[in-house]
Amino acid sequence: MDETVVLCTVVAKKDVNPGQPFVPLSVHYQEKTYAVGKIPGGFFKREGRPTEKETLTSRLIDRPIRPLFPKGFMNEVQVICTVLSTDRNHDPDIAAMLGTSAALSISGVPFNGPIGAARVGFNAEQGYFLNPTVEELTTSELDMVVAGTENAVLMVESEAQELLEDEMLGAVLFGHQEMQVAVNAIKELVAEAGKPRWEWQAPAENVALKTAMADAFEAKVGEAYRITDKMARQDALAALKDEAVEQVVAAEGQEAEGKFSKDDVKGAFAALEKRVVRSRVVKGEPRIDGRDNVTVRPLAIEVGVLPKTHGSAIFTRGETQAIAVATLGTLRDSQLIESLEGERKDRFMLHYNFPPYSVGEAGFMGGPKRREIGHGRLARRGIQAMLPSEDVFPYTIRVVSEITEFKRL
Amino acid sequence: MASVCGSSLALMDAGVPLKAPVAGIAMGLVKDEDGYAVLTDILGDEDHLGDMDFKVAGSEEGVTALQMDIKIEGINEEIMETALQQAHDARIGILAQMNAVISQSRTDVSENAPSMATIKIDPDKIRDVIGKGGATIRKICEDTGASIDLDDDGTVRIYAEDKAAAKKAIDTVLAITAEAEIGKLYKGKVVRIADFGAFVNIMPGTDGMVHISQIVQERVNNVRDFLNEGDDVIVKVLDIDNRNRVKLSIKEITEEEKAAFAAAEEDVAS
Repeated sequence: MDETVVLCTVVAKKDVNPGQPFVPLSVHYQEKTYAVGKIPGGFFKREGRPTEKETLTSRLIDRPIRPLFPKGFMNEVQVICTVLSTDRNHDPDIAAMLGTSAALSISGVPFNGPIGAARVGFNAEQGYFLNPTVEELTTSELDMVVAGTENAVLMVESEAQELLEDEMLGAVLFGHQEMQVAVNAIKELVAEAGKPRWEWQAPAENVALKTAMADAFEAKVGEAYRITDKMARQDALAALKDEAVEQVVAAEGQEAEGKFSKDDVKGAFAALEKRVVRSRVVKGEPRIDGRDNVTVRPLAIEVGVLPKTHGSAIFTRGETQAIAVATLGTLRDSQLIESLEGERKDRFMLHYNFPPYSVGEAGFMGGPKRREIGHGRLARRGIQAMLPSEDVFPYTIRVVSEITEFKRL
Repeated sequence: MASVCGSSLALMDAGVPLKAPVAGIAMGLVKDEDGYAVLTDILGDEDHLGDMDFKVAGSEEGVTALQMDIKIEGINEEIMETALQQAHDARIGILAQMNAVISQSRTDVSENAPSMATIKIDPDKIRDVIGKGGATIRKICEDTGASIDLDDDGTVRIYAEDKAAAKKAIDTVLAITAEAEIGKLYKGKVVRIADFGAFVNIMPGTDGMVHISQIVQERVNNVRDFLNEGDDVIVKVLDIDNRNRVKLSIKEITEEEKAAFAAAEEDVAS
């Protein structure tokens, strides 16, 4: 795109690591400073660990392509995007997404793409506009990235200045429509240069096991999901699962032949759980914790809870709780952000921490993970438009949100 | 999304004048042959079961952030519209509950917060504030614990640990940049004695000279008979010449002026 060049590569393993429960997809987006003719700062003069921007863009690429690998495809896939040249006025993320889509589509790897991607801007005078430059974004009330296939929108990531739901939806549809140019171009490329498709068959569903499980446990699982207390429900489900493993594996007596291994049964049980919960939801039955579809869990809100801090709040929604702490600093405390577009000062920081104890685990404590960076950025987007300008409130602002409790199920 | 609500509350608690409070909500959607259902405020793992999950943050007026992940085809405009509307209703409900606790940003920032002030000075005075090799500005910073940024247009930004320190720094800068006014009385300190008169410091960075003929009505043979280094004196500004040299006088001060000055001093003190 213009003077932006991004190298997007895809490698997929031919064989599968057995026992992997999830899609082993990893996406790495990296920006090289030579892309803008700069030598990196610091002692080593090399690009170091991923910047926040790189991490976020990696997620942005990952999110729309992940659901497009067929169910049951468990081969390891790695996508690496390298920004080789950029004109500073365009964020290379859209180019990287399109490049990834093209690379995956011609690779022959089972992939239900291609996807297109577009950035959408909006303001009252111009309406929606496509792929705004960094400069144009300053007058835009919206910064939205949309990705999707020919038929469906798959991902939206956006930040707006108090736009209406309709305006947001309009932007999603506009983006989806405009990206079809790219989708078609990639299709043409595949026709011309696509490698032969992998001969891959989704593993056959173990119908016997599924039926066996459904017959024996569907009703019981349904019952268990009527228990609204989290702990009691989890205990009940765990007990059922053990029972299932014991019964089905033993009853069939074919474990030795590997027909119904323990993992298979556990997998089938999880699938059953999912089916039960989904069908209850669509039928309009109460949810896992007894709520109806439109009710927010009970809230508990307190402010000014920490005496020495500049501002604090505890926000509790059901069994999810965040302690948020605001700290004011002078403009000298602002963060210097080095990016390909140049250096800038950022006077707002929002840091999100999701420690292992919040989900009752003893885990590794390290630097912020991708997920934490992503959640922090989303929260930041939510707040950003409401911040006073520097003229009105010349402080650097840092908010830290500590998640103390988080409800998984 | 609890972080959005919590952050908005904490910022208001900190006295940050947010344009409006913001709340966030996580939503889910399940769709099968029989229809679809939109779920408000999904639990962490309900989104693994669902076909679409989206998170919306916004104020009462509108959306500030929207994130969506869709796993299936067939989520059409109508479904999205319904989903967004349901998220909107939930958000408004949460905002109402947040407003019940704190509806407006506190008017003052915390006592513990660093204080910051911006004042405007005559750009020609910037070098006086900086001083020789930065000596003056360094001294202010050391004395008050504040840090000071100067812009070429005369904008002075003062950052300090707390309000008192900021005020002290502001006063000092203002004193340095204040212009001596002709005819006005100042309390000064004698800094140097010469044969022809005494140099009196009347403001930080501004010295004036009391000529030997301006000390008392009588003729003075030796300045030291009347003034010595370190003496506090009240002086009147007679003139400021084009090289910014300040001419001072002690003898020109009338009794009335002296009384008025003393009264004004007392006012300030009380």
